[in-house]
Amino acid sequence: MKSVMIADDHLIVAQGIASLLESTYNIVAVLESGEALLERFKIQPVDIVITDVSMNKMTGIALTQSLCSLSNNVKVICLSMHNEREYVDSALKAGAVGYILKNKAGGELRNALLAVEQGKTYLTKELTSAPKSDKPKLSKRQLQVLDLLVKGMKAKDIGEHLFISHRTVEFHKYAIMRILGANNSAELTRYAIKLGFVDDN
Amino acid sequence: MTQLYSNILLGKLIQEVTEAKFDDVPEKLQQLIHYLMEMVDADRMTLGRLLSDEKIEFISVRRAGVRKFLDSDDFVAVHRPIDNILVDLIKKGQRRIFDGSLVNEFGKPEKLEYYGIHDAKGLVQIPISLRGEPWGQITCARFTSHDGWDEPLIDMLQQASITVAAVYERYLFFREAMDQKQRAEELSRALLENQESERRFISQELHDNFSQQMALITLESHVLMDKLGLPPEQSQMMVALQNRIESLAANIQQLSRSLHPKILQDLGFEPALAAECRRIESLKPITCHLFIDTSVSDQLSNTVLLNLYRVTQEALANIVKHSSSAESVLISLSIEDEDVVFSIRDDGEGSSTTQHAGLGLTSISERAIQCGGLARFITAPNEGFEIEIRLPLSIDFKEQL
Repeated sequence: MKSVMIADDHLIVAQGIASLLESTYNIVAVLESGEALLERFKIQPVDIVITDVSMNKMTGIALTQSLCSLSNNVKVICLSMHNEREYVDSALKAGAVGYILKNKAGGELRNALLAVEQGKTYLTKELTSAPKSDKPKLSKRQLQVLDLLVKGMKAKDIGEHLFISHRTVEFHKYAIMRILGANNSAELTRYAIKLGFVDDN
Repeated sequence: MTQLYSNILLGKLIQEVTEAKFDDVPEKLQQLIHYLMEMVDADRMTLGRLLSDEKIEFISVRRAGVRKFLDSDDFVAVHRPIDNILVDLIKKGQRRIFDGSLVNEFGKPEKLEYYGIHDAKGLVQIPISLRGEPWGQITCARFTSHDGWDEPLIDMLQQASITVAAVYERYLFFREAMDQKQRAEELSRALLENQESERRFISQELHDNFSQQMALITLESHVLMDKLGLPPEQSQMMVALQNRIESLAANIQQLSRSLHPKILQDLGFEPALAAECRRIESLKPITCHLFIDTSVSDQLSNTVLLNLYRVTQEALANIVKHSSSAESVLISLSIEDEDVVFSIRDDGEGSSTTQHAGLGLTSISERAIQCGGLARFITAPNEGFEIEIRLPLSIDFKEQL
């Protein structure tokens, strides 16, 4: 039987989770804060930690980070009311292998535990992590401006060509440079070609 | 004994006090009154402004070593009740000049004691009226024996005292206006803070109480379902019921989130803005680019970050509503020329004026002021719209708060 510890500053919910799992898991402790769980874990490491995310002082994210730096074996599942992708990304980045919406926990938690035990990552179905895109996204106008910049046109001429002011062209150029991470015009051209925004002819 | 005083110097002092910046007025006024005191060879001089409640407001200057007037600090206004005789003199515009003992003229010694003139060797009281109305008086006192007052100098003092009174009155008027402005700013700050703290409270209550209870209900219903081992048809009904509870819980959570961005405390400024940007991107074909210098945001107080977050919400809502041609938005936080600069700029159609009603620009300006900074709106037709908030480094950083 795998050992489990649960942290949630809403103790009543943590106990509800414990009662859902107690027939199939060894519930070692149910704790009211990230700090308390961390202290307990140092004395008595467990296989799986289930933690709330929004807790006062130490958040579930910070707890996950600390646990993962203490142990290579612990599997952390974050349990939260928050469905924003940024929460999921932060949890995964901190080392969590599961992120479940609290109100889906009744139906999903046991599947999630099985998945993470097999070395998989489990996210509540409606949640997705940020798509890792290599290519930054440029708007149509930015692409037009970039194309003309790479062709060697001056901001003033680009403005006349596109019927926008010189100032606006400068803004587009500035925005493109920041988006592509270019520090100067030469880098801008190089990155634009490398990322395939313009062809090198 | 009369010194020859230069009218040129007096003229210069009067010019200085009438042209002085607001903050410098008290000092210049004090210098002028001090000069007038020396001009008439008095040891102490007091400007009194008649108040509506039969009190008088005094400010006073004195030579070194001379007793204070009414125990008040030099040139600090004090409000004191005065006797009817003095009020009458001011109203009637009568000047009084005393040489030698004052006791007989003033009556009781306690009264002399009250005004701190029981051992005075001479006193001049000059009424002042402004715009034909009695305004107050100027009093000169001497505490050493002397050969009497020089009437032409007293006449000159009477002339100058009108300027003194007018400058002082104008100063009080401006001070009142500034106090009111400050009170208005404090009120609006308190209102904003109040609104935020109420929202935070309701949001927290929804999250900690309602949402958690709902989550618990779904958990318990699953535990119960396990124990009951329902037949398929009933089990399906149970799942449908659970789904309804789940979606209700999700709605409550969304309401909680819209009231207060918990994400700010949980994940920090940049992820909180990223979530907001993504929400806007789902409403409109637009791309938001975030360039947040986290070494800057890490040092800003929670109050400032919440204000900047609210500004971003307002700005993005504006872009969705009013900037139909915008395709991209640049949001940046950085340090420029010793200022913290937060900027939100779109590439939409812009505007010919920044005096748009209903754009929420007033509340953005207000929030910038609450942070100790200023908001600027930069736009022109076809040039996009930029909101820039500048906060001086010194005001803004956590350790200074």
